[in-house]
Amino acid sequence: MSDEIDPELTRLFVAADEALPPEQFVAEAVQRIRRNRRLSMVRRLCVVSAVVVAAAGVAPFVADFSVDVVRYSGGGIEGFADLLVSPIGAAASMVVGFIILRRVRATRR
Amino acid sequence: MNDARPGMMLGEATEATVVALAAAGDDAAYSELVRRRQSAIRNLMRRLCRDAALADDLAQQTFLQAWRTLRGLKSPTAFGGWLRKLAVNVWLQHERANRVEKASTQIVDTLEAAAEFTASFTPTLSEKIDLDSALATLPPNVRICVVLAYNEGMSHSEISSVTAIPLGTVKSHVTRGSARLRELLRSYQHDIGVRHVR
Repeated sequence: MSDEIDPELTRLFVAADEALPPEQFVAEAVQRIRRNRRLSMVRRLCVVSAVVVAAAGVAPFVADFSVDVVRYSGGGIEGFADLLVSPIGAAASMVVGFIILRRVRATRR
Repeated sequence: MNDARPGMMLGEATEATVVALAAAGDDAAYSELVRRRQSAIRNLMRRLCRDAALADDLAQQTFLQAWRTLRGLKSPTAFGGWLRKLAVNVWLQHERANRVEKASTQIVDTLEAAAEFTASFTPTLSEKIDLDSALATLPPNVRICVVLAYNEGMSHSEISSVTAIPLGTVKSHVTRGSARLRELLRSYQHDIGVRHVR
Protein backbone atom coordinates (compact mmCIF):
# COMPACT_ATOMS: atom_id res chain seq x y z
CA MET A 1 0.00 0.00 0.00
CA SER A 2 1.64 3.23 -1.12
CA ASP A 3 -0.85 5.62 0.52
CA GLU A 4 0.08 7.41 3.69
CA ILE A 5 -1.13 5.63 6.80
CA ASP A 6 -0.65 6.20 10.49
CA PRO A 7 1.35 3.30 12.05
CA GLU A 8 -0.20 3.94 15.47
CA LEU A 9 -3.72 3.62 14.09
CA THR A 10 -2.68 0.54 12.15
CA ARG A 11 -1.44 -1.00 15.39
CA LEU A 12 -4.77 -0.19 17.08
CA PHE A 13 -6.73 -1.80 14.28
CA VAL A 14 -4.57 -4.91 14.42
CA ALA A 15 -5.00 -5.08 18.20
CA ALA A 16 -8.78 -4.71 17.87
CA ASP A 17 -9.01 -7.73 15.55
CA GLU A 18 -9.99 -10.80 17.55
CA ALA A 19 -10.16 -14.43 16.51
CA LEU A 20 -13.89 -15.06 16.74
CA PRO A 21 -15.07 -18.63 17.40
CA PRO A 22 -16.64 -20.05 14.25
CA GLU A 23 -18.99 -22.79 15.56
CA GLN A 24 -22.16 -20.86 16.34
CA PHE A 25 -21.73 -18.40 13.49
CA VAL A 26 -21.20 -21.14 10.90
CA ALA A 27 -24.18 -23.12 12.24
CA GLU A 28 -26.42 -20.05 12.00
CA ALA A 29 -25.14 -19.17 8.52
CA VAL A 30 -25.81 -22.71 7.30
CA GLN A 31 -29.29 -22.62 8.84
CA ARG A 32 -29.97 -19.30 7.11
CA ILE A 33 -28.89 -20.72 3.76
CA ARG A 34 -31.10 -23.77 4.24
CA ARG A 35 -34.08 -21.56 5.11
CA ASN A 36 -33.41 -19.41 2.09
CA ARG A 37 -33.18 -22.46 -0.14
CA ARG A 38 -36.51 -23.78 1.18
CA LEU A 39 -38.15 -20.42 0.64
CA SER A 40 -36.90 -20.09 -2.92
CA MET A 41 -38.09 -23.64 -3.64
CA VAL A 42 -41.55 -22.81 -2.28
CA ARG A 43 -41.55 -19.57 -4.32
CA ARG A 44 -40.60 -21.47 -7.46
CA LEU A 45 -43.33 -24.07 -6.82
CA CYS A 46 -45.88 -21.29 -6.36
CA VAL A 47 -44.86 -19.68 -9.64
CA VAL A 48 -45.02 -23.02 -11.51
CA SER A 49 -48.45 -23.76 -9.97
CA ALA A 50 -49.73 -20.33 -10.93
CA VAL A 51 -48.50 -20.79 -14.50
CA VAL A 52 -50.11 -24.25 -14.72
CA VAL A 53 -53.44 -22.94 -13.39
CA ALA A 54 -53.32 -19.96 -15.73
CA ALA A 55 -52.44 -22.22 -18.67
CA ALA A 56 -55.33 -24.56 -17.80
CA GLY A 57 -57.72 -21.60 -17.70
CA VAL A 58 -56.54 -20.18 -21.01
CA ALA A 59 -56.13 -23.54 -22.81
CA PRO A 60 -59.77 -23.89 -24.08
CA PHE A 61 -59.63 -20.42 -25.64
CA VAL A 62 -56.26 -21.12 -27.21
CA ALA A 63 -57.50 -24.43 -28.58
CA ASP A 64 -60.60 -22.79 -30.06
CA PHE A 65 -58.50 -20.06 -31.59
CA SER A 66 -56.07 -22.60 -33.04
CA VAL A 67 -58.90 -24.59 -34.57
CA ASP A 68 -60.28 -21.39 -36.13
CA VAL A 69 -56.86 -20.46 -37.51
CA VAL A 70 -56.33 -23.92 -38.97
CA ARG A 71 -59.81 -23.92 -40.46
CA TYR A 72 -59.27 -20.49 -41.98
CA SER A 73 -55.78 -21.13 -43.35
CA GLY A 74 -56.46 -24.74 -44.25
CA GLY A 75 -58.75 -23.67 -47.11
CA GLY A 76 -55.78 -22.36 -49.07
CA ILE A 77 -53.41 -25.24 -48.51
CA GLU A 78 -55.54 -28.31 -49.17
CA GLY A 79 -53.05 -29.59 -51.74
CA PHE A 80 -50.19 -28.87 -49.39
CA ALA A 81 -51.90 -30.83 -46.58
CA ASP A 82 -51.69 -34.01 -48.70
CA LEU A 83 -47.97 -33.37 -49.17
CA LEU A 84 -47.46 -32.95 -45.42
CA VAL A 85 -48.89 -36.37 -44.60
CA SER A 86 -46.84 -38.06 -47.36
CA PRO A 87 -43.45 -39.70 -46.42
CA ILE A 88 -41.52 -36.87 -48.12
CA GLY A 89 -43.53 -34.25 -46.27
CA ALA A 90 -43.00 -36.01 -42.94
CA ALA A 91 -39.24 -36.22 -43.57
CA ALA A 92 -39.11 -32.54 -44.55
CA SER A 93 -41.03 -31.63 -41.37
CA MET A 94 -38.52 -33.57 -39.28
CA VAL A 95 -35.59 -31.78 -40.92
CA VAL A 96 -37.22 -28.40 -40.31
CA GLY A 97 -37.98 -29.37 -36.71
CA PHE A 98 -34.38 -30.48 -36.18
CA ILE A 99 -33.05 -27.16 -37.53
CA ILE A 100 -35.38 -25.21 -35.23
CA LEU A 101 -34.28 -27.28 -32.21
CA ARG A 102 -30.61 -26.67 -32.97
CA ARG A 103 -31.21 -22.94 -33.27
CA VAL A 104 -33.05 -22.84 -29.95
CA ARG A 105 -30.15 -24.68 -28.24
CA ALA A 106 -27.63 -22.31 -29.79
CA THR A 107 -29.45 -19.25 -28.45
CA ARG A 108 -29.65 -20.82 -24.98
CA ARG A 109 -25.87 -21.13 -24.84
CA MET B 1 -27.15 -28.78 3.22
CA ASN B 2 -25.22 -31.84 2.32
CA ASP B 3 -22.49 -32.49 4.86
CA ALA B 4 -21.31 -35.78 3.38
CA ARG B 5 -17.79 -34.60 2.52
CA PRO B 6 -15.37 -35.21 5.38
CA GLY B 7 -14.44 -31.94 7.06
CA MET B 8 -10.82 -33.00 7.54
CA MET B 9 -10.19 -33.24 3.80
CA LEU B 10 -11.77 -29.87 3.12
CA GLY B 11 -9.87 -28.31 5.98
CA GLU B 12 -6.62 -29.24 4.31
CA ALA B 13 -7.58 -28.10 0.81
CA THR B 14 -6.47 -24.77 -0.65
CA GLU B 15 -9.04 -21.99 -0.70
CA ALA B 16 -9.21 -21.99 -4.50
CA THR B 17 -10.13 -25.69 -4.42
CA VAL B 18 -12.76 -25.18 -1.73
CA VAL B 19 -14.22 -22.22 -3.65
CA ALA B 20 -14.36 -24.29 -6.84
CA LEU B 21 -16.14 -27.11 -4.98
CA ALA B 22 -18.58 -24.69 -3.35
CA ALA B 23 -19.30 -23.05 -6.71
CA ALA B 24 -20.09 -26.51 -8.07
CA GLY B 25 -22.76 -26.89 -5.39
CA ASP B 26 -20.87 -28.65 -2.60
CA ASP B 27 -22.53 -27.38 0.58
CA ALA B 28 -19.88 -28.79 2.92
CA ALA B 29 -17.26 -26.85 0.95
CA TYR B 30 -19.29 -23.70 1.39
CA SER B 31 -19.52 -24.29 5.15
CA GLU B 32 -15.74 -24.62 5.17
CA LEU B 33 -15.43 -21.27 3.37
CA VAL B 34 -17.71 -19.63 5.95
CA ARG B 35 -15.60 -21.14 8.72
CA ARG B 36 -12.37 -19.84 7.19
CA ARG B 37 -13.58 -16.33 6.40
CA GLN B 38 -16.08 -15.63 9.18
CA SER B 39 -13.61 -14.02 11.55
CA ALA B 40 -12.33 -11.50 8.99
CA ILE B 41 -15.80 -10.50 7.79
CA ARG B 42 -17.22 -10.28 11.34
CA ASN B 43 -14.27 -8.15 12.46
CA LEU B 44 -14.74 -5.87 9.44
CA MET B 45 -18.44 -5.51 10.25
CA ARG B 46 -17.66 -4.85 13.93
CA ARG B 47 -15.36 -1.99 12.97
CA LEU B 48 -18.14 -0.61 10.77
CA CYS B 49 -21.12 -1.16 13.10
CA ARG B 50 -19.89 -1.18 16.69
CA ASP B 51 -22.91 -3.36 17.60
CA ALA B 52 -21.63 -6.97 17.64
CA ALA B 53 -25.07 -8.56 17.07
CA LEU B 54 -25.79 -6.33 14.09
CA ALA B 55 -22.28 -6.95 12.77
CA ASP B 56 -22.85 -10.73 12.91
CA ASP B 57 -26.23 -10.35 11.22
CA LEU B 58 -24.69 -8.34 8.37
CA ALA B 59 -21.83 -10.84 8.13
CA GLN B 60 -24.39 -13.63 7.72
CA GLN B 61 -26.21 -11.63 5.06
CA THR B 62 -22.87 -11.31 3.27
CA PHE B 63 -22.34 -15.08 3.32
CA LEU B 64 -25.91 -15.67 2.15
CA GLN B 65 -25.40 -13.32 -0.79
CA ALA B 66 -22.07 -14.95 -1.53
CA TRP B 67 -23.75 -18.37 -1.58
CA ARG B 68 -26.38 -17.10 -4.02
CA THR B 69 -23.88 -15.54 -6.42
CA LEU B 70 -20.82 -17.74 -6.03
CA ARG B 71 -21.34 -19.33 -9.44
CA GLY B 72 -20.77 -15.93 -11.00
CA LEU B 73 -17.27 -15.67 -9.52
CA LYS B 74 -14.85 -15.99 -12.44
CA SER B 75 -11.64 -16.81 -10.56
CA PRO B 76 -11.68 -18.89 -7.34
CA THR B 77 -8.45 -17.17 -6.22
CA ALA B 78 -10.28 -13.82 -6.15
CA PHE B 79 -12.74 -15.09 -3.53
CA GLY B 80 -11.33 -13.06 -0.60
CA GLY B 81 -11.53 -9.70 -2.35
CA TRP B 82 -14.89 -10.53 -3.87
CA LEU B 83 -16.31 -11.48 -0.48
CA ARG B 84 -14.97 -8.28 1.09
CA LYS B 85 -16.60 -6.23 -1.67
CA LEU B 86 -19.88 -8.03 -1.00
CA ALA B 87 -19.54 -7.24 2.71
CA VAL B 88 -18.96 -3.56 1.97
CA ASN B 89 -22.03 -3.51 -0.27
CA VAL B 90 -24.14 -5.22 2.38
CA TRP B 91 -23.06 -2.62 4.92
CA LEU B 92 -23.64 0.27 2.50
CA GLN B 93 -27.13 -1.06 1.72
CA HIS B 94 -27.84 -1.32 5.43
CA GLU B 95 -26.63 2.25 5.93
CA ARG B 96 -28.77 3.53 3.06
CA ALA B 97 -31.83 1.75 4.45
CA ASN B 98 -31.26 3.37 7.83
CA ARG B 99 -30.50 6.82 6.45
CA VAL B 100 -34.07 7.99 6.85
CA GLU B 101 -34.05 7.04 10.51
CA LYS B 102 -30.76 8.69 11.27
CA ALA B 103 -30.89 12.42 10.85
CA SER B 104 -27.13 12.63 11.26
CA THR B 105 -26.39 10.59 8.17
CA GLN B 106 -28.08 13.17 5.94
CA ILE B 107 -24.91 15.22 6.09
CA VAL B 108 -22.40 12.51 5.36
CA ASP B 109 -21.07 13.66 2.03
CA THR B 110 -19.37 16.90 2.93
CA LEU B 111 -16.19 16.98 4.93
CA GLU B 112 -17.26 20.15 6.66
CA ALA B 113 -20.38 18.43 7.82
CA ALA B 114 -18.30 15.44 8.89
CA ALA B 115 -16.11 17.68 11.02
CA GLU B 116 -19.19 19.30 12.54
CA PHE B 117 -20.68 15.88 13.29
CA THR B 118 -17.61 14.53 15.03
CA ALA B 119 -16.83 17.78 16.83
CA SER B 120 -20.07 17.42 18.76
CA PHE B 121 -18.67 14.27 20.34
CA THR B 122 -16.80 14.85 23.59
CA PRO B 123 -15.52 11.82 25.45
CA THR B 124 -16.03 11.83 29.19
CA LEU B 125 -14.42 9.81 31.95
CA SER B 126 -17.55 7.72 32.40
CA GLU B 127 -17.77 6.87 28.69
CA LYS B 128 -15.70 4.01 27.41
CA ILE B 129 -14.10 5.13 24.21
CA ASP B 130 -12.41 2.31 22.39
CA LEU B 131 -11.59 2.04 18.74
CA ASP B 132 -15.08 0.90 17.72
CA SER B 133 -16.74 3.67 19.71
CA ALA B 134 -14.44 6.25 18.18
CA LEU B 135 -15.13 4.86 14.70
CA ALA B 136 -18.86 5.05 15.37
CA THR B 137 -18.61 8.82 15.72
CA LEU B 138 -17.35 9.15 12.14
CA PRO B 139 -19.94 9.64 9.41
CA PRO B 140 -20.54 6.39 7.45
CA ASN B 141 -18.66 7.39 4.28
CA VAL B 142 -15.65 8.51 6.28
CA ARG B 143 -15.80 5.41 8.50
CA ILE B 144 -15.85 2.98 5.58
CA CYS B 145 -12.81 4.65 4.01
CA VAL B 146 -10.85 4.63 7.27
CA VAL B 147 -11.77 1.01 8.09
CA LEU B 148 -10.88 -0.26 4.63
CA ALA B 149 -7.56 1.59 4.72
CA TYR B 150 -6.51 0.47 8.19
CA ASN B 151 -8.39 -2.74 8.88
CA GLU B 152 -8.13 -4.22 5.40
CA GLY B 153 -4.92 -2.52 4.27
CA MET B 154 -6.52 -1.37 1.03
CA SER B 155 -5.05 1.42 -1.10
CA HIS B 156 -7.07 4.56 -1.76
CA SER B 157 -7.76 3.52 -5.33
CA GLU B 158 -8.95 0.08 -4.21
CA ILE B 159 -11.27 1.73 -1.68
CA SER B 160 -12.54 4.03 -4.40
CA SER B 161 -13.34 1.10 -6.69
CA VAL B 162 -15.02 -0.95 -3.93
CA THR B 163 -17.14 1.88 -2.51
CA ALA B 164 -17.69 3.91 -5.70
CA ILE B 165 -16.54 7.02 -3.85
CA PRO B 166 -14.31 9.32 -5.99
CA LEU B 167 -10.57 8.87 -5.33
CA GLY B 168 -10.06 12.45 -4.15
CA THR B 169 -12.91 12.11 -1.68
CA VAL B 170 -11.49 8.81 -0.40
CA LYS B 171 -8.14 10.49 0.26
CA SER B 172 -9.80 13.34 2.15
CA HIS B 173 -11.98 10.94 4.11
CA VAL B 174 -9.00 8.82 5.17
CA THR B 175 -6.90 11.85 6.11
CA ARG B 176 -9.63 13.66 8.01
CA GLY B 177 -11.01 10.48 9.54
CA SER B 178 -7.58 9.38 10.77
CA ALA B 179 -6.96 12.81 12.30
CA ARG B 180 -10.29 12.69 14.07
CA LEU B 181 -9.65 9.15 15.33
CA ARG B 182 -6.23 10.12 16.65
CA GLU B 183 -7.77 13.08 18.42
CA LEU B 184 -10.53 10.99 20.01
CA LEU B 185 -8.24 8.17 21.05
CA ARG B 186 -5.68 10.57 22.45
CA SER B 187 -8.24 12.22 24.71
CA TYR B 188 -9.49 8.77 25.70
CA GLN B 189 -6.00 7.60 26.60
CA HIS B 190 -5.50 10.86 28.50
CA ASP B 191 -8.78 10.33 30.40
CA ILE B 192 -7.81 6.76 31.23
CA GLY B 193 -4.45 8.01 32.47
CA VAL B 194 -6.16 10.57 34.70
CA ARG B 195 -8.46 7.89 36.08
CA HIS B 196 -5.55 5.60 36.87
CA VAL B 197 -3.68 8.42 38.68
CA ARG B 198 -6.75 9.13 40.81
